[in-house]
Amino acid sequence: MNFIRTALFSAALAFSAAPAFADHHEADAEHEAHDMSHGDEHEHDAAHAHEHDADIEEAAAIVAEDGAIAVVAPGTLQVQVNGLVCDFCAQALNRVLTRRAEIAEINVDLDARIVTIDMEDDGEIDDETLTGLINDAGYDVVAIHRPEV
Amino acid sequence: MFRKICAAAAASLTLAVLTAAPQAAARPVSYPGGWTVMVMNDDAMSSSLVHYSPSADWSIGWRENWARDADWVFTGAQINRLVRRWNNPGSQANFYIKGALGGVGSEARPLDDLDLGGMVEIAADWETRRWFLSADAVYWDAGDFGDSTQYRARVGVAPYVAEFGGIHTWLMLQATHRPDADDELVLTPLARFFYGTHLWEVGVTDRGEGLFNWIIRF
Repeated sequence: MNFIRTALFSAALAFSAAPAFADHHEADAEHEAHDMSHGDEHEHDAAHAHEHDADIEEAAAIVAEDGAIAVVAPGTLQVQVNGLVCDFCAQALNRVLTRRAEIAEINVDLDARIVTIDMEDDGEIDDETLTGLINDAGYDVVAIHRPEV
Repeated sequence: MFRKICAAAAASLTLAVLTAAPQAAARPVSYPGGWTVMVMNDDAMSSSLVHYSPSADWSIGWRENWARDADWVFTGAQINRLVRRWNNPGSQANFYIKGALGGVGSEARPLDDLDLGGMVEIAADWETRRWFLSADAVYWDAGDFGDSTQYRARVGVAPYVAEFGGIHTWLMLQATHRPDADDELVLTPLARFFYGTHLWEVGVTDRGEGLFNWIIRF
């Protein structure tokens, strides 16, 4: 039967491609690690820290037109994500992230391709776990920005 | 003539983008533990699918398919494999292989004298926040009811770019080519809306037949 032959061929083709998908995610992790180290080079001017405190709530959403993060508020993480073009798909991020107890809610800026994550009080999540969750939702992490302390 | 020109343009544009670069290609992929219910109706078939995704790159589920013109009904399991996804800053693309295997019966007595049947599909898509392209090819083996092949391409544009959580609207043109059918080429202008985890598509073919699709994820 033609169908059986075609099905077997397709199944073999589909599962032979699995390593390509895995490699893709490994490459993303390396990319993210590079961005993390690069992010450490950004010095914050302590002399202006008090100004940030005054406007900290607004600052949580400050994102430059090029997508760069200006300031991240305490209790908030901002993640630059590639592939974030579709609202229907981005709902997956909401589902995957908010089922974690340490995450209160998220907001997605499709224009800037940034996911803002509001943590629960005393909520903590490390970069590796966060990257894994976003990969599970089908997206690639470019960089994770945390509040400066 | 107009239909052929539109179909050729849509197919050419889709093919050009899909073969141009790895920067191309995009479609929703379920997340681990996510369920998807799909109800699809076009000018030739009605189908319903319930899928569960154990991971971000494959899903398994149940499919019912009614080929209205050919008078057969398929009931069986379907597996969907996301072979490759390309996530880029301003676009996303996907390449899928799907397969279904189950029983095929007549429309009048769908559960009697079932024959083995199924389908194999390859599909690819690419989208930005403004543009959408997709193409797929499906081969159905309906046992004693024969086999059939369908090729389909879509081009779409968002008339406005909505924010996360808003109502999103797309205007699309779908071209369907069925070499074995009386109407080899069918054009369907349609509108796609999505809000939250719901997606609706409504259209009318150039023969005046309706298209209605609904998808929900949870």
